[in-house]
Amino acid sequence: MKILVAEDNDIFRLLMGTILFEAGHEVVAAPDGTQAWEHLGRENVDMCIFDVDMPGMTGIELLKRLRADNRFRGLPVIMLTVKALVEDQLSGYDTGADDYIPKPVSTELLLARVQALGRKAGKGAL
Amino acid sequence: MISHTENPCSTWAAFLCRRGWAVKVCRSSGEFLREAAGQALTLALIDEAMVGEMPVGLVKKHDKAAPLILFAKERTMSNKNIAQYLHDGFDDFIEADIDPRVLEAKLLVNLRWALPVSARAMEEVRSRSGRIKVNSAQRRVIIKKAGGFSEISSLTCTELNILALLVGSEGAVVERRFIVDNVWRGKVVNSENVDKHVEALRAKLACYGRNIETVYGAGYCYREDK
Repeated sequence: MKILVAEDNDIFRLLMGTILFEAGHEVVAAPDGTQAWEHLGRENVDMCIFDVDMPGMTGIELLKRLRADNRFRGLPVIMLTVKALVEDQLSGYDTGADDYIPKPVSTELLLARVQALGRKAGKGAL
Repeated sequence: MISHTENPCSTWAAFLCRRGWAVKVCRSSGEFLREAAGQALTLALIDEAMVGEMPVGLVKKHDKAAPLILFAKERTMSNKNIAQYLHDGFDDFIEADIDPRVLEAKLLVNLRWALPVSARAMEEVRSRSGRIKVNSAQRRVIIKKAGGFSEISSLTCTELNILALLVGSEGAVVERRFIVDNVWRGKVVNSENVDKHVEALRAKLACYGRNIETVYGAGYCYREDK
């Protein structure tokens, strides 16, 4: 799958990219919501993984914008964040997230959740 | 829900029932199979302790579209085991101490992806004759009229989703409960509300409105050849 990762932490973004790449995915990375939105307009991605707290456009704002756009209506989105309160999770799901994973998350669990969501969304095993 | 133990199923069931969900808690695989026979299974929550007698294949055999969500007591499972279960075909994993509101949100997400007959999944449906097309993605309804096709643009999202369900099930009776489950997805809505929306839909569809028949005591049926 081609996966867009929006994450403002350079190290974590690099780590995520490596993990996903080594699992066979193509990765498009963005350091903030604004650049992620620009990527969405250019790249034909199969899935998104967004951090919530990002400078400029937050992950929730990005998700809201994405869900309001018919082009991305069926695009699976995972929120991956340290914001793990019940209210944060509900906000994520209400906005249209398909999964909400609190950080830290193990590599194997992240990849399994990506695979499970990809399967649900009809994007195949990878 | 399939679990040997009372908790957390009884707590979840009470919460979900208050929110309008139809919930059945089964204590064994045999009870589940008896209950599920002849019914459309929407979604199953399976206790990890019962996976031995309720493997993914057994439930998927009954209804391959039904999302399967595994749950386990807090921190009793390693990440490796959870990942393995997800690889094996479970659609999601939750811990038993999950907030019921988050649980409901996750159930709705899983349903959104799973229900093949839901309006979301049907990007475009059309009647057999091709006289009416409902495109959920573009939120357009096209009907054939003398001299060509024209668009009906005054439908609300709810009306459009109801129409997609009815046209997609042309000739079959679609029960009110089914419409509520698929269009309102988990929200508490009474059948009068469905009737009001269908009535408004009929009016907006003009001559095509007649194709939506009321099946008293059951629901509605879209039929063109009358």
